[in-house]
Amino acid sequence: MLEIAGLSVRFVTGARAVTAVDEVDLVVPDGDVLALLGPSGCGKSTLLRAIAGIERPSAGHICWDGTDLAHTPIHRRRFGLMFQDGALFPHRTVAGNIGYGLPVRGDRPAEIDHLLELVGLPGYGQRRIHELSGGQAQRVALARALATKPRLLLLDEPLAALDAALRSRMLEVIRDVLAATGTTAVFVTHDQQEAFAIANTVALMRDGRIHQRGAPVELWRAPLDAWAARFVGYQLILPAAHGIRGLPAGPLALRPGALRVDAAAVAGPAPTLLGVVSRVRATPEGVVLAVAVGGHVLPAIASELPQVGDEVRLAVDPAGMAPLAVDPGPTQGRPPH
Amino acid sequence: MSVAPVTAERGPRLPGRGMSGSAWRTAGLLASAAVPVVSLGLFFLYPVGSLLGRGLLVDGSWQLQAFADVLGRSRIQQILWFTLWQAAASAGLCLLLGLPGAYMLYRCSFPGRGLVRALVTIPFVLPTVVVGLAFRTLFADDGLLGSWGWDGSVGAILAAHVFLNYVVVVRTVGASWAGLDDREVLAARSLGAGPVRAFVTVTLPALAPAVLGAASMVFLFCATSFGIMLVMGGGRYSTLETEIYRQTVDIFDLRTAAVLSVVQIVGVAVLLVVTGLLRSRAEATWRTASTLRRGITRGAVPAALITAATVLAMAVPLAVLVVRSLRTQTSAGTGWGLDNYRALGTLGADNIMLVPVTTALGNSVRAAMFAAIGALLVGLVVSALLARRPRSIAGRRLLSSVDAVMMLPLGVSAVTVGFGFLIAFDSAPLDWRGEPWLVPVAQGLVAMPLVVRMILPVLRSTDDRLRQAAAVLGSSPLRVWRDVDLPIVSRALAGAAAFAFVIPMGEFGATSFLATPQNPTLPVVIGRLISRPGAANTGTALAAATVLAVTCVLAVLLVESLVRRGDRRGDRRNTVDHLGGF
Repeated sequence: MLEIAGLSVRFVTGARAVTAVDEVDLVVPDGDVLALLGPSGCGKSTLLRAIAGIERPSAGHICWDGTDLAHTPIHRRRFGLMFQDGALFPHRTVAGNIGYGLPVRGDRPAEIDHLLELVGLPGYGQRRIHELSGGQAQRVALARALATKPRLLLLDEPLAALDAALRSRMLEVIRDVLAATGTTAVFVTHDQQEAFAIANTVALMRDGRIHQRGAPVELWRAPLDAWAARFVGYQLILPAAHGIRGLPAGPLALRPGALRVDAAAVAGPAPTLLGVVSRVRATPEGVVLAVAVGGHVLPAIASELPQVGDEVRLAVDPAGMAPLAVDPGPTQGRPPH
Repeated sequence: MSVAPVTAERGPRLPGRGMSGSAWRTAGLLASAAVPVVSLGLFFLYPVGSLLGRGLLVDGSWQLQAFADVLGRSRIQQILWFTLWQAAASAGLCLLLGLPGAYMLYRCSFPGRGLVRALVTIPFVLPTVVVGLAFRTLFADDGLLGSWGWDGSVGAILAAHVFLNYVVVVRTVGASWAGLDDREVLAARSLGAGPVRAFVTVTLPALAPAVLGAASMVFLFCATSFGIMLVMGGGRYSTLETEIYRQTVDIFDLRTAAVLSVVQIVGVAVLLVVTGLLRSRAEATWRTASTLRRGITRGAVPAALITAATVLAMAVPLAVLVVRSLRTQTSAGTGWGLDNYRALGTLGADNIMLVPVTTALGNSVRAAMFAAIGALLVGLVVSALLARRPRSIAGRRLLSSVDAVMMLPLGVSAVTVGFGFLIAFDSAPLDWRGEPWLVPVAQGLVAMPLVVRMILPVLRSTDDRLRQAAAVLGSSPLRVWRDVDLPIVSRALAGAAAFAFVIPMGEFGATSFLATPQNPTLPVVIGRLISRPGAANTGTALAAATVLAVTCVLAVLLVESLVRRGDRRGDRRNTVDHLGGF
């Protein structure tokens, strides 16, 4: 079990001191996969590097199973680390990379073959690193990191260098491999979909601090405030005093799918809103509208293509909205783009 | 959960063990730092300091008045002026010819490019005495270009300097040019810039650090030129370096020599600081995306012509050297044959030598091998230390000052080092007069900065995450160095090994003081042969110079072929490509 208490990492760049990680407390139980989610520059990578032993903490403790790791050098922590672009050794073959951390004796070739199969690259052992595509290199990097059976696997934006299609495939590979090996892992990403797809627990980071922490569904259902809601994909934040009848009272975060122009639903018992279409945009997911309702411009989805200026009735889907614990105030309710 | 079982045995549980580990690491660092510090202190700072003290310290007080005296002399002022302007002119000419060469050999692709790259590197590995002799023979009254009347002229000296240093510009600028991203130029062109404007506004600024770095390196080499000036200056032209030699050996005016040595050290230090600043910018652009132009486009024709003419012109002095070494002169007249080479086994006309040239060759090879081993070991330790990136500002400052000290031998006159050895090691407990091992020690000292310059940039440009990846996989710092740094640096190391051998082979300034007449090296013998009149001695000198040149080229080729065979990365760069690093 990984326990982090009061951890801070400060850098001195020139005359300026920057606090990259600010008094972070975290616990990762065995077998858990924690996603560190946050915008770039929030300190998530620095936190990961501190856990790995690459960065030296300015304050606080990093403990494994109750043992403080402050004086355990990087190579004795037995944590695996996977970098954004693999950082494979260019002068070794694929097998040479994967087998690097393995003891020389024993069933080494069999082990390497098994790992290659696990990441979906059987028979690639003798390939050279520069012959690999980006996705293949990341699979090798994953196999290399897993070869030593690390007690904790640290993944630093392992998908960021891949294109979209490859990213979703690789995400599945990582998720399956982590599940198959029961590896405890910390996964750093700036992409909320990645984080929710792979993690049991998500820690949302902002300015070096843990902003909110919980199961993906908790973050999704109950974002702490407007910032957290926006980061997990909510498009519009309404202040407590939004005054729209038909919507729950109190501060509210809305996704486009929360409101829907739907003839069938309008006839049903669910509450509905009346508004005027102010903008229409066709997307692969359907027609996205901006609808003016009671002084606010709300996002909505339609199955047909209405005209600007048309009056529409909107069905309200409670699953597409989340109440906020903190009122952002009237200025926070920005219209949809 | 499932990975927990193996946890207990391997992982360290006691914080105390980590403490002692970091203490051990600090101790190891200090110990490895001691190697270069002690060797440099004993064999460089102490002898040079002794020489300066002997010249400037009278009755325990420094004679600073000497600076005003010496620098006030018009002869010294003329020498200073000549040293500077001939070095600047040489560097300028090298750039003029080298920039088109860099473009041709690194941006264009044509059949035989690898061969041409190798050919233009040959002059740089030749001993200066050999080059000086080749140009003297070329421009001598009875030489191939005797009609030009360049014998003993500045033009001949500049030609020899350009010949030696052309490749420095080609490789340094070429390596940077090859790594330039074409898309920036294309972007400029798409915004309406013509080819010239795109070159001036985009390409040239990107190349500027490499161009200035190369120019300052050539300037440094030419300003401290010794072998060329001694052989070709004919007493008419002297640089600071030859003047230091003249003051110590011929006039025995140590005061003047010491003043000139200090002036040279200060001058070189200033130049190195400037170069260092430029280099740190150049290193950042090391190895990015590159695109090769296939074939020679119309715009590249002028560059192609200039490069072809330069390469052909560079072959001339070498051909003259070899051809003339085959010309024999007897009472019956001139002829052709191997007589000069047969004379290598004799003591020369009128027995002017104590040992035959073949013995001197053996001495040279032996000394150069020991010098190379020493220079490589110390250079590797220094590079490993300097490649570290300390967190603290104090640590960084300390490292950069160590960096500067390590480069000092590059700038201190080899004559100063050689004569300093004579003065410093002449009485107990350091009475090493006539010890044969002083020669390789001094030679290794001269070669060491170049080793560092070739290895350090590669270590510094190595992705730090490779080291972190190895450490995370359980490698101790020592194993990280063995598994990551060493393989990556191996090519540069091979190139450094070649230079660490070739430089001592041709070293003349320091060796001329330290090699005893019974145990001379080949350059010393050649210098002795050409200082004596007589066609027979000149012929023997030409044959000896050819042998020396061939030995140096063979040594580089041998290392290159070893690297090629051992190469598993399919990396096509030459060993000497790492020349760009210094």
